[in-house]
Amino acid sequence: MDTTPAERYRRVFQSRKRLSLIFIAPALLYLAIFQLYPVLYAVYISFHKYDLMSPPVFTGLSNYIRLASDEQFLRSLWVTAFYVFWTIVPVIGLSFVLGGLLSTLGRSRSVWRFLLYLPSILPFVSVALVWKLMFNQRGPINDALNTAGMASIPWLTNGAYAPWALIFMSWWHATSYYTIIFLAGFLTLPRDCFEAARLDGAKLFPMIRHITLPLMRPTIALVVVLATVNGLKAFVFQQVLTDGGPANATQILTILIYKTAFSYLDMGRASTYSIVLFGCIMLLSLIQIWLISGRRDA
Amino acid sequence: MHRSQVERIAIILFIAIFAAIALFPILWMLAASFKTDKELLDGSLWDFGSAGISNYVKAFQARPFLRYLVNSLLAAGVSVLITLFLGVLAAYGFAKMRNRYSEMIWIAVLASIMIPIEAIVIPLFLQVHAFGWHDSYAGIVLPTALNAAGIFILRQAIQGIPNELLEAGRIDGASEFTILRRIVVPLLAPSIVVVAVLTFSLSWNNYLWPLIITSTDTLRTLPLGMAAFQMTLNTKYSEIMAVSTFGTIPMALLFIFLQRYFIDSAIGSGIK
Amino acid sequence: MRPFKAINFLAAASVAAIGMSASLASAAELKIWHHTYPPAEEFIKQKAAEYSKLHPDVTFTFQSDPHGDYEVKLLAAIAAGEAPDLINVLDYLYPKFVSKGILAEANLPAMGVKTNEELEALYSPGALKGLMIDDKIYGLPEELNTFALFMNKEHFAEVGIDVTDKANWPKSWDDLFTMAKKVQKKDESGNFTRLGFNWVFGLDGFWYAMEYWPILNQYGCEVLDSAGKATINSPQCVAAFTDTWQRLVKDGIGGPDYATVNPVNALQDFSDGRQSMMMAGIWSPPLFGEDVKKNYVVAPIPQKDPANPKTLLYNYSMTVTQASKNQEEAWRFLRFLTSDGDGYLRHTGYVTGLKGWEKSEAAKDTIGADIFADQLQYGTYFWRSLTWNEEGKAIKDAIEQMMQGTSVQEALDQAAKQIDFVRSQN
Repeated sequence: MDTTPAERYRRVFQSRKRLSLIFIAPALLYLAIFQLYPVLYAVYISFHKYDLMSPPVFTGLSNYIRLASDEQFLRSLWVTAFYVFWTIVPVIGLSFVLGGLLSTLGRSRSVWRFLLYLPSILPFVSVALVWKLMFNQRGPINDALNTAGMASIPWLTNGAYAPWALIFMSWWHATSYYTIIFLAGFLTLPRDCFEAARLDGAKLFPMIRHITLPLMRPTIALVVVLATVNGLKAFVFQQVLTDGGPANATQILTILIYKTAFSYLDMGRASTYSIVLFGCIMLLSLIQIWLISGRRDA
Repeated sequence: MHRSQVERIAIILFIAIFAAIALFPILWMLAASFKTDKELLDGSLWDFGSAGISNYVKAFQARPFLRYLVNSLLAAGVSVLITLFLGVLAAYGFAKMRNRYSEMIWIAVLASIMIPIEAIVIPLFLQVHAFGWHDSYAGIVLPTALNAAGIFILRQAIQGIPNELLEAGRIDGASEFTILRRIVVPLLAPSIVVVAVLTFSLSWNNYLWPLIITSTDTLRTLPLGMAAFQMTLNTKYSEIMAVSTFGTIPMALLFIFLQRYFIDSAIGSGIK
Repeated sequence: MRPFKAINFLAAASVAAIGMSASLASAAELKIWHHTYPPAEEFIKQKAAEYSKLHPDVTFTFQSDPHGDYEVKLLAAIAAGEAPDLINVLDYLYPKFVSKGILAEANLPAMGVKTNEELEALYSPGALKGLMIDDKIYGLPEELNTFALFMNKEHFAEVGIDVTDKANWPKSWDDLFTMAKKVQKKDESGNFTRLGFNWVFGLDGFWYAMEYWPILNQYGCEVLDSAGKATINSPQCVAAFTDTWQRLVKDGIGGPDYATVNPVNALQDFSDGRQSMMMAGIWSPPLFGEDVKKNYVVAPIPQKDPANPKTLLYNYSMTVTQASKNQEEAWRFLRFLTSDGDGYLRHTGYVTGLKGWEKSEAAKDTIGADIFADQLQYGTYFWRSLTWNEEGKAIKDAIEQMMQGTSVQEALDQAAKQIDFVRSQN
């Protein structure tokens, strides 16, 4: 036809805008039905008192106001923060180092990579069950301590040790996962930069600080956010190992939510906790993304 | 890169220590699956168990683990398919066809990755029940099938594809669908594999949702079957270890098979 | 002898009445939900088959879930309007369930009796009280339970005590702990190789309640006062927990650090012969190791005041849901099912609580049946509350705290505060 390139372009562009909606629509619809709607419903319920067996009763903001005097909730916030902090920081550090070292290896890399990734292959329930047995009073970890001349530690029955048992277990599990992510990131780094720097006589640490870290920023941002989100969403490990005990020492927010909903049948309160958790996750993620990678899109 | 021998050995040693730590519990689990309950805790670490494969046999006789495995595989498989199909479409839409609303909608998609399952499980249950999917394969598989993190990863990958390639296709008169199919998808292969594995893993570990939605035993997934094995008064730990080892096999096979693509992809990222 | 015969007759008559109403039954499919326990599940299926022969129009479907998951699934089903006909419910949940209209009132005619008293008379005294709200009966006991003291006679023989002799049974808690100290063994590094006595730790609030409820009763400790305010931190309660729980740790007898318990194999230490005494129910022997099976003795639990014995009572009951469309048939079947106390005891180890059960053939084969029957008389059910689960958890938390060194008063004060907080929301 006799259309100018400009017109042709415009037509194509316009139809593309419409098309984009068609492309996005199925996934969006799915998310709207199975994620968005339930969340809205949860928000709705957080303003009510609801026990599944009789209709919800509107209570306004009272669920939220009560949070301030809800000791279980406040304690849980602290336990969760403790767990997430001590899980993220060492894990990211170690994964970074391991990922970097792995990237320097040649052919042997795939073997080590496989071994290091193994913990992530196990189903969560299996990981939890195995570690529960390992932390048993008479299990292998205490056996090892005994042979080294130390006393057995009451890993899961004492509130001073239980949080650490879970943290150590999470180190084992999470490092495996993020090492691989960091490895992938390292492998995309341009080799020439390092070659040039080395030839110029640069030392290791300054090189890491001025070259590696800035280049790895996007990956680091990704891992920090992921680790935080996953840490906050942890559930299976705590439930299987200690079910939040002893005396709530490991009762992270997700466990409290579960108990409040399914054992105490207080859906209103459980939804309130959920909304708070969800809010924390979003807030933290946004802050981290903004801090680490500037205003670049996640 | 030229590294001294000493450096290389030091690096390998460092890695090896952690590999050993990574490996230890898994080996222990494997060894434990061949021990009797008594040997598990009272015996020494290095004993070879005396139970042979009896734990496996007993576990399988007690509950239909093969069936649970099939159910889990089915759920994971469907999840991968749905995530890939809907995900590639949506990712392309987000990456290459932006408009005013893209950003907003994108934030919503990101937010959905952050929703903890406990928050929505009851509303979701009531809703799914209203569809009539209670205690059915549809109910177990469909609601949690779409892995939003997959869309995230795919979008990143597509953003990396130079626009010129797409323009070339357009100028040749190809429709967007064809461009997607012929140009984009082949380039996306590594990311598709990453998403497939991550989605499979996510579905495999799904516990709370299948629990709520199933009643019939034969519909249960593997984690449910394993957890049901823990009864207050009579848990056979050695059998649990056998079942756990068994539960590892599918993921391990998948990983070995796809190792090549999975790791070396430039975009290896995802949500557990 | 005569009362026994009369009860027998009444029982037989009501069951016969059920049998005779066979021709009046209409087509029905009854859904039964039970918590996971294969012997019970098998037994129920067997009885259901028998019933179907008598009432060909009635068919059954079954479902079981492990104890913890079971409640969740049940509630989800009820919320979705998919409630089964017959369910398996612990007695302490009755206030909540009844207040929400979940449970159906007992259909006395379908069960072959005319009044509550007639039904109660069939059972051990007080057995049905726990399933009654406002003088209406809402379920039948499937598993009527109390705890007794199990002792390993071999262990005690080693230190010269013959526990097959009643005179050597611990009458008071002091006796118990003294005996525990005598029989326990430690190795050179101070680790226990044999525990004398230990409580079970790490399980849910309900399990802890089973363990401390007799003691609370004996010491006059109330969880709530008549106004519904928490009194779990009263001086009597502090004394109760100090004397019998924290004592374990203070006297170096036991505690959570020494139990093998992973929160799922509750009785492992005794069953493996690593512990000499424990408190548990009549259902525990099938789980013992072979050695222990041959060597255990059952005694009544220690008492603070032997002249005034007090202990616990609880039951895992079977009941009919309000949502059921076949309530009459369901109650009829329930009566049929639970009337076979002998079969229940023999196949599952459950005591259905029917009067005279301890004299049946199956009971004669069960060590300690007479002790359990005796104890049932002094048992009382847990405190009743609409928010029982949270209150039970608060006390569980307090116990775990005090076992780690917090003062008993402080721990119980916290529990009281939490209980008041929970109750203030209603």
